[in-house]
Amino acid sequence: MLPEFDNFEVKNRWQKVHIDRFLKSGWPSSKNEEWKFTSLHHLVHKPFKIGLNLNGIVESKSAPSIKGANQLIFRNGILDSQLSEVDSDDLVINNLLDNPSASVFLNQTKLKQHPVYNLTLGAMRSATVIDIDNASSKQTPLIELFFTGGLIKQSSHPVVIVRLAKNSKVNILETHSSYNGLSAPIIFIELGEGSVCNHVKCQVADLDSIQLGLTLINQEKDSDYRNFTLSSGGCISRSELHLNLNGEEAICHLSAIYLGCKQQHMDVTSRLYHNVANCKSEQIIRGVLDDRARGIFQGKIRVAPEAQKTDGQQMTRALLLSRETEADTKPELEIFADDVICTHGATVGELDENQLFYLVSRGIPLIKARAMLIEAFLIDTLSQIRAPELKKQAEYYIQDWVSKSTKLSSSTG
Amino acid sequence: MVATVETISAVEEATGKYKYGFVTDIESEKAPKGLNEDIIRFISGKKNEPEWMLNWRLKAYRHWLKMPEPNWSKLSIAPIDYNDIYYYSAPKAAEKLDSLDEVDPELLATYEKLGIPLNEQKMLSGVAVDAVFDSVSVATTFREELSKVGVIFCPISEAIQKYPELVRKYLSSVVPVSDNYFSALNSAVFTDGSFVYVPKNVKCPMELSTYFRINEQKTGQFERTLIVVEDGGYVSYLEGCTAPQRDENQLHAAVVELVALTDSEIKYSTVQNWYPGDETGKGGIYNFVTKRGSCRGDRSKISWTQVETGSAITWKYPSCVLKGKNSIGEFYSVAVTNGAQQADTGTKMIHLGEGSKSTIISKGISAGKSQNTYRGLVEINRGAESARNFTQCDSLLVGQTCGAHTVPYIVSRNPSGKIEHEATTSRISEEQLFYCLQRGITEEDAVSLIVNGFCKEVMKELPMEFAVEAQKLIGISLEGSVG
Repeated sequence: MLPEFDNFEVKNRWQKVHIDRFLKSGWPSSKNEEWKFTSLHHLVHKPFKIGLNLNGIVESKSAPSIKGANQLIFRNGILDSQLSEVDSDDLVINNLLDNPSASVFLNQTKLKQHPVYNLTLGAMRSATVIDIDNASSKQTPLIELFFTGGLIKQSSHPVVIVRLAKNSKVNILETHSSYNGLSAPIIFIELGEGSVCNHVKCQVADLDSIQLGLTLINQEKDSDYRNFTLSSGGCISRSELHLNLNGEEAICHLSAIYLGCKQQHMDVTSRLYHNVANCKSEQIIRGVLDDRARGIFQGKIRVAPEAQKTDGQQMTRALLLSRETEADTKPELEIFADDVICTHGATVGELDENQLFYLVSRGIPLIKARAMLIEAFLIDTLSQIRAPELKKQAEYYIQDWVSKSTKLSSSTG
Repeated sequence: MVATVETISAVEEATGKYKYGFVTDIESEKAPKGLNEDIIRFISGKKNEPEWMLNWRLKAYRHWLKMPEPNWSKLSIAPIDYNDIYYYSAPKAAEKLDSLDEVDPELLATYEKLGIPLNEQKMLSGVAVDAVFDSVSVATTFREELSKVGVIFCPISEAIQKYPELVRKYLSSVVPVSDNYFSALNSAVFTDGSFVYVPKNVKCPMELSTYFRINEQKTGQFERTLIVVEDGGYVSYLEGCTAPQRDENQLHAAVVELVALTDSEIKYSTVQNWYPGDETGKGGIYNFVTKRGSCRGDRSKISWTQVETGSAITWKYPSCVLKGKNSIGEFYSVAVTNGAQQADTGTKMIHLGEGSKSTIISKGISAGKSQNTYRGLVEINRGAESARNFTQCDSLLVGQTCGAHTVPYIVSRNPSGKIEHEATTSRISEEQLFYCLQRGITEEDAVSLIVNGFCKEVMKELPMEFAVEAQKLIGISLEGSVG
């Protein structure tokens, strides 16, 4: 496993701790409850070279870019300042690794044993920090984080930290379109008191790659976080999100869709910690699986004893388009407070024959009818994205996938 | 809130006195403490078991030695010293008994206290009893009447002697010896249990019932139950547990296997009220049970109903393997935890057959400092065309120091299968309580009304004989304690 660590030089000495932890635990197998449905054990036989410079191709598929966005382009996990373009005064960008307090900040999470966390913190070459303090500004800046890279035997480990000061606001578009063999990005978002963040993540990487993204969110009092995550790339994809509600009256809304075809393995995992009282969380997850794809949703909501008056809702639905797909769901509730309302729901099924018949009987071709129903199934995940330009991006990738999927299935009969 | 304080004290009051905490003094014969191959040979020898049975036990034991103790449940368990337990203990009345008169009167008194319908008077209520007192089945009634229709209902040790071909065919065919740590242990050292065989097209004329009882101090109880129902047969089986008060933890690792063939139905109901330990959980029973039913034939049906109120630790997942076409699996459960009790319980529904259906209704109520977890698996496999599952697990929390957890696993490998899962966690709503109080119902009555309503879906599945006892149990544990 990653033999390149032998001669690998870390940027900061404390990174070595994470490398050692990773080497000690190795890739998780299905015996690890957190990775029960997504074993990475076989990666032992797939060595990667850690991306150290800006080599490889930049071009990759993506939706039309958004005008006026502050674009940060990462190649092989490293910020390419030549290609990046930032023109908002609200944003201050630094490299956290130049700051001695970095280890303190990065080590405060509970993820000591997390393989992706340790690997990326150990292997990262820089940690881009974006500080936003725009309480008085009328405009909401848009940050576009674009991750790319072009070598199949290479791995990339970007780390981006977004910190929102009190009452600040920001829109984030995160696109992963890498051709690298392994991508293991970590995105931290710290929401200060009263801040608002709309975050759309589109993982549309190459089907040969392995995508292990980790998103870590901390929310202070009155903050409002909306996340939409779309995953359709990678032969193995795991989109993992840990969210801490640390201040009262904070609200979060997470929606995620996974779209799998061929032999893809699509995993969406969320861990939601209600640590204080009076917070609200809502999660909507939709999955569409075709061919021999396997989809996984694991979602845990933990309500601490102090977190009275918590309102936690979660709903997951999977749509199976082919006979050989598999959908695994594990919605988990861990509740230690009594005055709470927590629910989760899960359904798995195929396209409704009656609905399909209804559309076809009204002269709509079968392919189109199918596409309509799949889109309709996915559409309510988009309702919470408040920035129209971000919504358009998500819609673009959904339509792109659905049209390809229906074309494929119609050609195979 | 005042009600919360009242709640806690009411709960303490209700659970502080354990109604069935008494010890019967009967001389008993024991094997030395500890577990090794000699002990297994001793148990097997005591039971006059044939060679194949001994080998089967030894195989299980050797496998058990290689297995790690499971630690995936949300339970914190003090380490168990498997060598500090007596694996065999039998009441000394060793000679064969012909009638109830020969049974030790003290034993009969114990049953009386528990309300077991063993005597003439109770016979009229139509319940046949195979009573397991510690490890040996002492008396069995109604056998003649059952044998008229061809139903076999006897201790499993007797079945091994009398019907070896049946036992060999079905024993461990549902729960393999190596299935899990506790089933392997049970296979190695089980001392007794019940065997039921219902022949073709026979509806068992009465409800069969076994009362398990742990009595001898420091005796682990390892029962083994096997129920086989042939084509078109039907049986309803009741299992109830009470145990006397003890200071040291008692290990209980039972295995129950059900086999339902074409068009047959098995209804298995449990009321479990082992001693839960004191307020810190000390002295309570460790209950590690493997229960599994196999719906082998088409249109067969297995229904598990359980009311779990006792034990310090409950680790129990009554499951159904739905092999037959259009077979049906059901799981109805009420789990009440209180004090320092911990329960990790649920079910597994494995759909293999076309059109198989399963229903899971689980109601968890946690109070005091207890932790109550529902853990379940619904798996629809490739061949299970048009399989259907509905799951509902609701949790009710009483007080701020308990926990209620839900861990469902849903695996779907067939697109035509339909799975629905719902879970809610809440406490008794202020509105409901207010509504009742406003109409002059006392708080205690109101709470009992609401909790009864909460569990109703499960309680109505219990047979008449159990319904009363179960309601009483839940009443003792929770009436007036929620607020």
